[in-house]
Amino acid sequence: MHNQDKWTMEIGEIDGMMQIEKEFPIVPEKIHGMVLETLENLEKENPSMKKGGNTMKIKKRRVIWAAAALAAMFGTTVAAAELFTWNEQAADYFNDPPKEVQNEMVAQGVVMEQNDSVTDQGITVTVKQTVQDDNRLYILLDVQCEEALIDDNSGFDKWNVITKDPEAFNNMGASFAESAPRGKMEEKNSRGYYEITGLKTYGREWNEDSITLDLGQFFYYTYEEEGLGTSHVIDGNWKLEIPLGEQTQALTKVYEPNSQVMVSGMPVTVKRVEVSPISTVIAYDLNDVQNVIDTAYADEEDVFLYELQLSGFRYDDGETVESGAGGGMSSFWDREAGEDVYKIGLAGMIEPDRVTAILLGNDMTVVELQ
Amino acid sequence: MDKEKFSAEVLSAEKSMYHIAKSIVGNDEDCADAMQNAILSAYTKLYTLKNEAYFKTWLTKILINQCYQLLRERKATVSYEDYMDGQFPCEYLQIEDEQCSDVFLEVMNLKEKYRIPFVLHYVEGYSIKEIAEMLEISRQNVKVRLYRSRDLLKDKLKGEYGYA
Repeated sequence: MHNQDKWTMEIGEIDGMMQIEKEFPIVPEKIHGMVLETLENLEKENPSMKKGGNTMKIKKRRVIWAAAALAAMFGTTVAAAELFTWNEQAADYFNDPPKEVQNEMVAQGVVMEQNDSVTDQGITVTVKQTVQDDNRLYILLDVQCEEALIDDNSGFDKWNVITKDPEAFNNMGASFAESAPRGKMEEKNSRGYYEITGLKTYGREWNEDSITLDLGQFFYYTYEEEGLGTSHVIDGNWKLEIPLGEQTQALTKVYEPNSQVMVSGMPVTVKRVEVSPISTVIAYDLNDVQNVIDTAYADEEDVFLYELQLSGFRYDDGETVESGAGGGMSSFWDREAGEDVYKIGLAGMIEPDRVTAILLGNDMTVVELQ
Repeated sequence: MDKEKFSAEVLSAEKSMYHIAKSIVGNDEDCADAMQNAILSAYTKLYTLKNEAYFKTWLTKILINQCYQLLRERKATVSYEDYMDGQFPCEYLQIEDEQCSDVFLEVMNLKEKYRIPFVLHYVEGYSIKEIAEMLEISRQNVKVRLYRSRDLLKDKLKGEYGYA
């Protein structure tokens, strides 16, 4: 957390002392030559060509919701008139699931309408909607300022989510929605959606039927013709109560593939995979992971195994959905269970019933689930 | 996207690719390897690009992954500790004296977690959201890192080089 003195510091003082892009070196001739040569020889060098087209073709797409699959995924029917309509920003964040899915998520308690609101220092903050499952919480706020202060560089500092269990979350992030104007390049808005996402701490019992969101400082930037911009802060107190009800496990699918993926030439067993519409948990065999680290990265600290990171899902029709940790990721070594557990907040919403495999790493290594 | 369009897009992104690779791997040999690997990988995976408008962002993410892959493979060249702490010596960066500006050196001596978001945002113009997706960190984290990088850079440039 920054203190106010730091935020009010005139960062803009370095404006004018440099045009940063010009301070970086030009592309050396030998590198430009390499690029030209690489492009010229693309078809010769293309690895998929070398393999005679054997490289698996992955057809990716944004999540498209199929009506037939929806019926399988959601067995109950819900009278739409009884339900509130999703906020358009929340729907956009989760890749615009169709109305049937939106209604079912409300009925399952995954999605809740909120309405607490508070005004201070000319800024009104209203909670609009929450989305949660066992692993994750998403909170959508509507922020309205008397003046146009909002762009994608502005936000709240000194913010805190107050829970009964102080360790209920272990990874939280917040920012204005991507629809916010781009810093120096577009006019600011006086109103914007603010999104907070958090991952629930692995292994702790979730017992939060409501939480308090405490926002203490709003910051924004002004921009001169050149330079990086000057930051400003507005101290205030925006405290909001957010009822959450019960979390739901209704839509989570659990698999125990016990298959292996190769990392630095060594096998790592995928012990368990839990897939929900908005999050995924992957548990690897801790001994296997430890073996890779001890053997291949013995002299390194903070080893991050890219090969074990979630890249997407394969659906039952063979299509794949690219979906990494856009909603945050945390990892935990559960020594008692002998597992290296990754908890991932998905970038959009997926259809768990249609998932037949997860895809890992840059190479999209396939781990079959069913 | 056909090969000609792909080539044109890569060439228009060449300078940006070089700057980003330079900020991660440091020396030109590794920059060349990472860029070449990224170009080949992108061409192989071209059918996965959903919207051509995002080609440069997509290519940059591939490049970043290739840079990190290269660093893991060549960790003996620059120690991991030096890499994480910044501390690229000038000769390692292989920049001609006239190009080795104070500002560039200080950017390169920022810690990795501040340096890369800084270069992506202030040198290459990527948005907070794009950087968050490329680096797989939250947008709030990107903002905090950008703020701290500017703070560190300002102190360095004022203290050591006397910029007013």
